[in-house]
Amino acid sequence: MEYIHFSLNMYQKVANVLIRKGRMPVGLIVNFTALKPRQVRECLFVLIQHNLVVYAESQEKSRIVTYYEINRTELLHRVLIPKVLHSSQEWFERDGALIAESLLTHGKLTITDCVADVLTTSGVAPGKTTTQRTQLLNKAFTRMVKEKCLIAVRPSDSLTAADKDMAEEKRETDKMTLPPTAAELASIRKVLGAQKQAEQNSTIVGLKRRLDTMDDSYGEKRPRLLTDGDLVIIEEVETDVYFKVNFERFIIRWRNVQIANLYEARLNPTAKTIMQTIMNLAEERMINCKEEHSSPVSIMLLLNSLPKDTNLIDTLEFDPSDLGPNNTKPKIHECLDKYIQILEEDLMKILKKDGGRSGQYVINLKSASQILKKNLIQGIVSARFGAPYVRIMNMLADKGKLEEKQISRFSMMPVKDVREKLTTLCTFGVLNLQEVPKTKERTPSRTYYLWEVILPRAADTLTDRLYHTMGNLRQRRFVERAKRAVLLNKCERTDVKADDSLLNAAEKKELETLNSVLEMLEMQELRIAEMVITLRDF
Amino acid sequence: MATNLTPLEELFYQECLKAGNNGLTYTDFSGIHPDSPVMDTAIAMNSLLGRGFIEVFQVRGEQVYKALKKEEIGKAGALQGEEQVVYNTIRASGNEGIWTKHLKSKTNLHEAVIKRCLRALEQKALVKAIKSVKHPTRKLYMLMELTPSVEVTGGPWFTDQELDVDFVEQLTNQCYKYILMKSFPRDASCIFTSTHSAYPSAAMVRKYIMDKRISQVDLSVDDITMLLDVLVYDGKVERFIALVDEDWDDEDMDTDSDWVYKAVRDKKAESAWQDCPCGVCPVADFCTEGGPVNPAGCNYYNKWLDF
Ligand code: SF4
Repeated sequence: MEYIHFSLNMYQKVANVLIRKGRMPVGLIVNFTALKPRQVRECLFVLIQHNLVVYAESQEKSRIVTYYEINRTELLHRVLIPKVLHSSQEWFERDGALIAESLLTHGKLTITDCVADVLTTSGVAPGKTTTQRTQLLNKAFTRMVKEKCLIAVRPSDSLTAADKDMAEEKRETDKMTLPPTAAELASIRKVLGAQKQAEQNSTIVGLKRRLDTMDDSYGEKRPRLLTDGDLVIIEEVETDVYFKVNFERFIIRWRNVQIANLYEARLNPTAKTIMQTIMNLAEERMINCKEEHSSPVSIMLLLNSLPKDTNLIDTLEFDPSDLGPNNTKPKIHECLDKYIQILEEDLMKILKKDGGRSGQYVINLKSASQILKKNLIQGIVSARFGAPYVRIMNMLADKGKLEEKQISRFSMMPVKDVREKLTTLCTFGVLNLQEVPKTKERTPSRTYYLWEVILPRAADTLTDRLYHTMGNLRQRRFVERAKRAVLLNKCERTDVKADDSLLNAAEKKELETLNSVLEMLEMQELRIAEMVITLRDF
Repeated sequence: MATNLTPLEELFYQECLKAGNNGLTYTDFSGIHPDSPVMDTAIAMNSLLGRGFIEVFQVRGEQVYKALKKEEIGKAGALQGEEQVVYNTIRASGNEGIWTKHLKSKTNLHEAVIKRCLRALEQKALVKAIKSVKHPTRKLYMLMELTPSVEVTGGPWFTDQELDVDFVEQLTNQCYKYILMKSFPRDASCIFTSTHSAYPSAAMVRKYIMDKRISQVDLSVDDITMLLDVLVYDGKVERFIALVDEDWDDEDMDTDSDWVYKAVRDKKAESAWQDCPCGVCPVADFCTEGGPVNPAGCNYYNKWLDF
C-alpha cells in the first residue's frame, strides 16, 4: 500500500519489513532490508514525518533502544486521500483542498509553511495580491483547524499509543507501595481513559485567542466570536505548531452524511436536510465514531440553522383532522415539530429525545452505524446472490438461531432451496452454523443444526474480502503501468513534457487507454475503501 | 335410535353420549343407575363395544367409555377384530392422519396384518392415504370423510405437497404494491405526518386481495400475515403497532391484531464491490499475488478493462 505514495523502493522496503515483521530497532531493519543504516534512518525519518511510523524508547540495561513500528490506522487511511481532497474542496472550497493537498504531500506542516507551499504551487489568482491570498489561505486553514479537520501534532504523537498508555499506567502504579490488585489496575485504566477523553474534548490544541487591533483594511468580515465593546477577540492558529490532516474527523463527517442520507429514501429530502443539520450541530462534540450518542441539539437552534431553502410546509401531507376547519397549513415551526415527531417515530429509532429535557434531541449514533453496516452487508449479499438470500439473513438477524425447516417455513421457500442458500451464505462468511447434539454420541441425525447471523463477524469477514479486492485492484494498477513502462518513461522526458507532438498517434492512444484504465481501477479502489470504512470504522 | 338396542344398552349409550368427550367409567354409571344389575350391564357394554357404539380407553388405570357419533357407528361396527382396531386408531388421529409406522406401534399388530387391514379399509372407502408436506416420504392414513389439516397440506401455499413458489411470489408483490400505495401520499416528495393512521393491517391487505380476486383460494388473515412477514424480512415493509385513535374506530374492519404495515421505498440492490470482477469472482478464494490465479493476468479484469 505504501509504495504508491513513496515510489522510491527504499521506503517500500523499510515499510514492508515493519508491516510484516512488527516493531524493531534500526539494526534489525538494516539486516532485513540490506540497506545502509544511513538510508534506513532517512526512510524512518520521512515515514515519521508522514505519521506512518511511530517509535517507542525502552531502557535495556544501560542503553536506551528505540523501536520503530508502523502506524497501521494512518497507513490504511491513505487510501482515502482522494476522498479527503474531494471533501475538503466541498467543505472548505478550493483553498481547503489546496491546504489538504499540501499537508498530505508533506505529512505535517505549520500554518506558515503550508500557506507558503500552497502559494508557490498554485500561484496567486489573477487580480489578487499575495497578501490578500495569504490572508484567505490563513482563514481557510484556521477554519479547518477549528472544525477539527486538521489537527495539531505534538512530538508525543510520534510515540506508539500503547507505550504511552503503559508508561502512564506505570507512573500511577509506581506511586503505590504494594503491587496493584486487578480492581485497582482497572480503576487506574479507567481514570486514565477518562483523562484522555477529556483532553480530546477540551480546547483545540494550536489555537490561541488574541485581541484584534488591526483595522479591517480589506473590508472583510472576520468571524466575530466574542465582542467586548470595540475590542474583537479572534482565534488564530499558532504559528509554531505542526498540523496534519485529521482522517478521523473526515470519517465522522462521512458517516454523518450517510446517516442523513438514510432518510432521503425512507422519507424525503427535507427529512434528510433536517437530519443533516442536526448532525452538523452535534458534530463539534463528536470525538470518534464509536460513541453511543451525539450531544443534544435543541429545536430552537435547529430551526435557526436549517438551510433557508428547506421546504417544511409543502412536503407534509396533513390528515384533514390536523388542518382544522379553515384548512390552513401550520406555521414553519409547527411543521418542524411535526417533522421531528415523524423522525422520532421512524422505526430506525435514530433520533430520540434527550432524557427528560424538552426540546432537546440526541442521535443514537451506535444504532445508526449498525443500520449502515447492515444495509451495506445486505446490499452486498443482494447484489451478489439475490433478494431471497437477504430474506434469510434478515430473518436470522431478527429471530436468532433457527433450523433449516423453520427457515423454510418462515421464508416461504422450499427446504431444498433454503439448504442451498444457507450453505452459500455460510461459505461466503455471513452465516454461522451451530450444532446442538441431542445425545452424547453426537450422531449427525440426532443433532440440531442452527443457523445464525453475527453481524460483527460478518462485517469482519467481508472487510477481509474487501481488502483482498483492494489489493487486487492496486496490483493490477501496477501491472498496467509496468506494461507500458517504456511509454511512461518517454512521457517523463522533459522534452516530451514540453511538447507532446513528440508522441506519435499510437502512443497517444495508448496513453489514453492507460489513463482510463487507471482511472477505473482507482475509482473502484476508492469505492471499495469507502465500503471498508463503513464496516470497519463506523 | 333406529338400531335395535336393549333398554339397558340404550341407557348406557345415552349416558356415554351425555358424558361427551370426558367419557364415562363404570363407577360413574353405577352411581347414576345403582339399580342396574352388574352382570347385565357388563353384557350390554360388551355388545355395545362389539357393535362399535362405544369405545374404551384406559385413563389412569380406569376403563373409560366414550360414545361414538351416530354417523360413525355403523362403520366400525361392521368391521371385525383387527380391522376395527386399525380403523379406530386411524380415527383417533383426527385430521392429522397417522403414519403406518406409528399405526403399527400403537396397535401392536404385525405389519402384514396392518397392510391387509388397510387394504380392506381402503376398499370399503373408509380411510384414505395422504401425503404430508412435512414428511413427503411418509404415507399417512385418515378417515375418508375428513379434510387433511393445514399442518398436513401446508395450507393454501402448497399444491401437491409442493410449495407454490410463483403463487407466493405474485401475492407478495401484490401485497407490497398495496401497502406501498397506502404508505406515501400521492405527491412523491411528501410524507404523512405521524398522526396518519391509514396504514393497512393484515386484515385490510386480505380484504384487498380477496376483493380484487387476486387469489382464487380463500386466504385467512394468518395466511396473509405469513406473506407480510416475508415482506418484512425482505426489508420491503416494516411492521409496527398502530396508534390507537379512539375516534377512528372503524367498525367494518376486524382488527384482531394491532400490527400495521408501512412500505419502505424500493431501493436498488447495488454494491460498488460487485461492479468490479473481484466482487463476483468465483475463484477469489484462490486468488493470490504470484499464484496460478492472480490479478496480474486475470481474465475477468482483461474483459472489464477492455474499452
Ligand atoms: S483478480 Fe481476478 S481472479 Fe482474482 S479475485 Fe479478482 S476477479 Fe477473481
